[in-house]
Formats: sequence, C-alpha cells, structure tokens
Amino acid sequence: MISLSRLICSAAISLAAAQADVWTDHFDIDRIPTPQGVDPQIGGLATLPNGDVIAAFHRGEVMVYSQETEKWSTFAEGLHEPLGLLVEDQNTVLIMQRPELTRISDTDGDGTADTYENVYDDFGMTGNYHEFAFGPAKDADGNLYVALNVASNGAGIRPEIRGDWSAIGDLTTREEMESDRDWGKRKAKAGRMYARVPYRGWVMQIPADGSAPVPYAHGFRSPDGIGFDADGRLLVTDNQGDWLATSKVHHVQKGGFHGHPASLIWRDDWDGRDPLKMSAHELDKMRIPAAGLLPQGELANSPTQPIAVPEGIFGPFNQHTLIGEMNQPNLVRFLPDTGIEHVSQGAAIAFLKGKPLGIGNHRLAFDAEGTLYVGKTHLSWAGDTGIVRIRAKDNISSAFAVAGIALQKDGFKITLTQPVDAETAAKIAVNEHTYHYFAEYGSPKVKPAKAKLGEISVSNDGLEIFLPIKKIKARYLYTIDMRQLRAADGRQLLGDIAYYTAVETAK
Amino acid sequence: MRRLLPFLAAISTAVAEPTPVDELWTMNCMACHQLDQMTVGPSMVEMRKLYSGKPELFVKWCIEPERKRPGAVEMPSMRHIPEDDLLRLYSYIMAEADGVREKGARKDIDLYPTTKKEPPFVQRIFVDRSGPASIFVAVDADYAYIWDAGQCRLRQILKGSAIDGWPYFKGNGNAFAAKKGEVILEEDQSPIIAVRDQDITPAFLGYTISDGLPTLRYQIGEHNVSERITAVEGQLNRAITVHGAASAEAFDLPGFTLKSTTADDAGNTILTYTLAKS
Repeated sequence: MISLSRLICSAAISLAAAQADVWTDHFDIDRIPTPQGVDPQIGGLATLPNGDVIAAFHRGEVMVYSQETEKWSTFAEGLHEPLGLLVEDQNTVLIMQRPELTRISDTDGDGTADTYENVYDDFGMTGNYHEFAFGPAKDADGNLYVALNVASNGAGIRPEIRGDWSAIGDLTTREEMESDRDWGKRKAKAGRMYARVPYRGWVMQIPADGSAPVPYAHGFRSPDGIGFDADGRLLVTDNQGDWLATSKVHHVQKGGFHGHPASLIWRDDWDGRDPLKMSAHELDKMRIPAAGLLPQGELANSPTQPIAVPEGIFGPFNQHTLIGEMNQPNLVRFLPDTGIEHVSQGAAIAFLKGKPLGIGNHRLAFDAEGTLYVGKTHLSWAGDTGIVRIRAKDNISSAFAVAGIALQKDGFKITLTQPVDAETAAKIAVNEHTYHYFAEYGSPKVKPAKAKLGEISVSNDGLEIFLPIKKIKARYLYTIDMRQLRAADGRQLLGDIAYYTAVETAK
Repeated sequence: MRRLLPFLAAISTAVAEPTPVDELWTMNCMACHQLDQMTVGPSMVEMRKLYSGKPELFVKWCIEPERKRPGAVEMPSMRHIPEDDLLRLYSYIMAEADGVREKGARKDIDLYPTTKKEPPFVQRIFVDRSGPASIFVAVDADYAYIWDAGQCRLRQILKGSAIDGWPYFKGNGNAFAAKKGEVILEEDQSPIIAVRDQDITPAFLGYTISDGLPTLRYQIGEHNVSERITAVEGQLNRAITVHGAASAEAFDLPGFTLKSTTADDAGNTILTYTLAKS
C-alpha cells in the first residue's frame, strides 16, 4: 500500500520544482521568523520608514520586526481581528479591526502604543462571524477606503447588534434572524450572504478633510483586498460564492454596484425591494462587471490584497499590480488593458507560483529596498501562517514574461519582456468560456470552447505576438495557454497562462 | 512587419488534455482534506465511508455543500469542476482511501491560550450580554470588566479576570469568548442620566493606555467624557472625568459609592466611585 500523502507530496514537489525553477531563477524566497507564543496568522502587514516590518496578528497583537536585531517587539495589542494595516509614520499606524478603523500611536516614543483613536466606526455589526472589515487603502489625496464583508447564513445574528436594522428580507425581525437551534431550518430565507445592518457589502470612503464618511461603492461580498494600483485605480478583490461565479478583481467606481446584491438595501435611493426577489437579469444590467475574473481552481479561489510594485523594483514587473491568493500557491499579477475606452478589463497571470511561496498569501508589503513581504493566514479555512520574504535577484531585468495583453478588434496582441522563439508562438492555444450570474454558489464554466485562431504572427524584434481570433465575445474569459512558448534563448515564461477578461470587445 | 509563421496555428495540436486527477486533487481539495485525518474538512477515509457506492451523492454534495459539523467551516461549492472530473475525483478518493484507517482528529487544543495572559490587558472580542464592539479589560488578577464601545458604557464587572478566546478564534468569531470570572455587576444603562432620558447615542472616541489600563473616551454632544477603572488593594475604583464643570447629580451608578468629586488643572470634573462591597 503506497501512502497517498507521500505520493501527493512527491507529486506536488516535482510539480512545484518544475514551476519553481523559473521563479527561483530570478527571486530569492525565504521566511522571516515569527514571534514565539503568538498565533502567526497575519491580518495586516507593512514596513516602517526605518525598514522594520510591522504586522497585525490574528489575535490582536501588532508587532515590529527589527531588521537589525531580527527580533520582534510588541507595539500594540488587544485588537479585534485586525485585517489591515497602513503606516502613517514611524510611530503611528491605522488598523482596520472588526468594529472600527483605529489610529494607533506611540506618543511618548517608548516603542509601545499608548493611544487608540477611533477614526471610523459608524457601520453596523450583527455579531455574525462573517462580518469582517478590511483596509484601509489611501488615495493620493489622503482619503481612506475600507471594505465591509457581508454576513453569512452559516449563522444568524447575535442578540445585540450595532447600527440600524433593515427589515428587508423574508425574515424581517431580528428575532427571526437570531442564531438558535432552528437556524438551519430558516437560514435559506436569509440569503446565502446578507447585509441587514449598514454598510455591509460596501466600500466606505473616509475623507481626508474630516468630513463625514461616504458610502462609496457597493455590491461586494467578501472584499478581503483593497488597494491602489500604480495609476491610482482603486482595486477591490472579491471571493467566489453566491452571485460570484468565480473570484474577481474590480476597478471600483464611485456609486457603482459591483454585483453582489445584499448591499443594495443601503443605497440612499433604494426603493425597498428585496434584492433576492429581483431577477438576475435586472441585477446584471445594474452591475459593473469585474475587470478581472480569476478562475477557481486554476488561478485563484480566494484573492486578497492588491498592491503596486514600487517604481524601479522587480525589473520588468516594476509598477505592476500583484494580488495575494489564499488557496493556490501563487500571487496573481493583473495587467490592465488601457486600450479599451471607458471600461476596465485586463489579464491575470500567476506570479511566483510554486512551493517556495506556498498558499495562504494574505497581506503584501514592500520595503524601500524592494523586498516583498507576504503575510499568511487561514482563519480556519485553507491557508498557512508566517511571513515569506521575496527579493529579486540581479538578473531580474532579463526575466522572460508577458508585459501586457491588448485586446484588438481581431485578436490579442501580447507584449513580451524578451524576444520569443517565433516557432513556439504557434503552439499558443486559446480557450474561451463565460459564467452564469446567479444566486448559486459559484458557477461552472459556461460555453467552454477552443477559440478559433488565425495565423499567429510575431514582430521582427520578437517582442510582440499577435493572436488573431475572428469572433471575440464580450463578457467572456479568454484563457491564453502559453506553456509551450519559449524565449529565443529557450527559457520558459514566468507565468505561462494568461486569463483575459473581455468585458467589452475592441472597437 | 509581422512575419507569418510557416503553418496555421488554427490546426495546431495543442488540444487541452484532461487534467490528471492527482492534479485536480492538489488544486482543489488538498488544502483542506488529508488522507486519514480530519483537518479543515473530513479525510478521504471518512469520505469513502460516507460515499462508497454513492457517487451521485458525492457529486451533489460537491456542488451544493452544507454545513454538517458544528464548529467546522462550510465547504465552498466545487461547481467550477465539471461533473466528469468530480466523478474522477470520486474514484480517486475511493481508491486512495481503500484499506486505510482513520487517525484521530487533530486535538481541539489552543496553541496560544489567552487564558495565560497576565493582567492588566485589553482584548477586544465578542462576549455575551454585550454589544459586538466590546472591550474586555483584565484589571488585575481579581477584576475584569466589559465595556461596550458601540453604546459607550460599562456592561459587566467580573470577579476573576481570565478570558478564553479559543471558542471565538477556532470558529472564526462564530462563538463568544469564554469569560472565566463571575459577573458581579451588570449595568443596564448609561450612568449619565441625560443620555438615558434623551436617548442619546454617545460617540466613541477611543482610549489611551497608561499602566496597562485604558482610559475610555467618548463624546456626548459637545461634552467629552472619559472613564477609567483601576483596582487598588482589592478595591475597584471607577473615575469618570467630564471635560468642563459637572455635578454628581447628573450621574446614577447603582452598585457604586461616590468617593470624591475633584477638579483637575484644566478645570475638568473628576467623579471617583468605588464598587460597593457585595
């Protein structure tokens, strides 16, 4: 009898080894130690102006890792499930914890925080376990953005809540929505995920000028990632589930509805209808499609924080957007296609895929020297713990990767960082599919088909490939399989399957 | 500019091959399911027991999973996996688990017990008989209290200051933390009479920490109020500071005795109460 775990293990290692080669050729990947006696699940991660790492842990500690002594010290503690951290200065951080956005400062300079200031807590909590709170992200003008998870019907609500109660739903009263022994019989009536207190399923803006917080955008389910790309786009990731065929990344639009209906009831102009009684067709017409669909089981099952690679770092990936991912052993690189007017869409490609990185990739932070730190968590689902450190090697400028994918009227133009072996370009295959938009949890691939490619051509300098496709369809995901592609010098791509979301076609 | 390749890519032979079943397992299942031990989800061995000879039930569960076990997380739907592949996974699980015996589940042990935390400390967490934005404060070995940041008021005083966060943490917030102390006082409304009478919701401002204990601050209209609970030689003291002039008549603290009314240098009124001995 062969031990399966050993079998899987060896299979996983050989698979990872084959993939890891291309990444570890260009990146050093190791771990920094985590503090003794502290649950090493990372909810928030950043670097301080002096280069030290600061992390918010699952159980509420905020600790600083000294680069000099390689030791951890406690900065703050006692927080309620912190899931985001933003450094203001060497002695001040903003933390999003379940009940509030808090500014935590060490005012006397002894290295330990003494002031916990409530910055924003004017949102509801039912006590349901799934009401996580994420952020903050800061825009160029200093405005802050946080994202609020909806509740899950895996449980009801608690006897005491914070904030206004909405009676919209089949179960109208708080008593009916309370967790008790019979919850299992009523839960279907609650909706798979629900938002009975404000502003669950929303992104909130906290203006820099101190004016009242603004309900900024809605339609989110489990927005565990909020951040800006290098061009100032506010990106939010969301997790596969009801109304989410697959996980996705949104370019958030002010006032926009991003697809999960529970949050609609907190719109100022809402007409009082139960969103679950609306047709999927009507909701579909209202929603802003995701800029990037991340196929479940292939690229991402549970995407997390987006972050822009700082200028001058990671060679050709400089200023690209990276996104964490919990269940697959990779980050996701998202390449917006700026050639499509008035629409945000683009391509997603696995980044750093393999065992050295592993799963559970939750929070990302760069330091001034270009080191990327990845903090891990699992929150009792699949994942990992600890902090991985990633540094580009000197040869990063020669990395062979996709630099961009532009949708054109008659096909895709793929730009590469290094010249390609033109013969291998002919081996690119493209598959297409779409998804259902409905209340069910996730969606199978709908209408999957092999895209009919015309003659693939390569530019003279070997840096551009054109994939002619006759009929590109809006609202389809195009899987561009470049596993057979090789550089002129024979190397494999760093990230060899691209998933292009065609929200619209090119004019 | 474009150089044509010598053959038509459209007839290239790169037809998608079915994903090997062990790869399907690695990509979709392995993070939560082990061979012979319950981790996040049940083992292959248990799945074999549950579904042997019932592939259709297995597929149904994968597409529409439910929460089956108390304390366990609900499996996400595997709807993205085509039915044929789910059936291949089914056969794979049945074959791999054949003849294997289940090991005991990972023990329900907290590796980072909060019960061992030395007071004084602050821990924000869900606790019963208080709001969801609660602050648990272990004052010393004898006393703890729960302050509700949503309502800006004291909720409970406990004799015994340990708290076990494990019920909360293992279920991701799906249970209250277990208070180890005995509740010796519950306050059912604000001690500020005007807040009760006028049905005002004060605004929580935050807290500062000195000597490990918080001074909790909130705002009622234009008035800033702060509250600090300390213990001195077995006696619990509760100081309420009102920024500006205030009189003790504006307050009502059943169970507490007013010890002193003083003013600080800035002219703020400090009312100090002690917990009456039971």
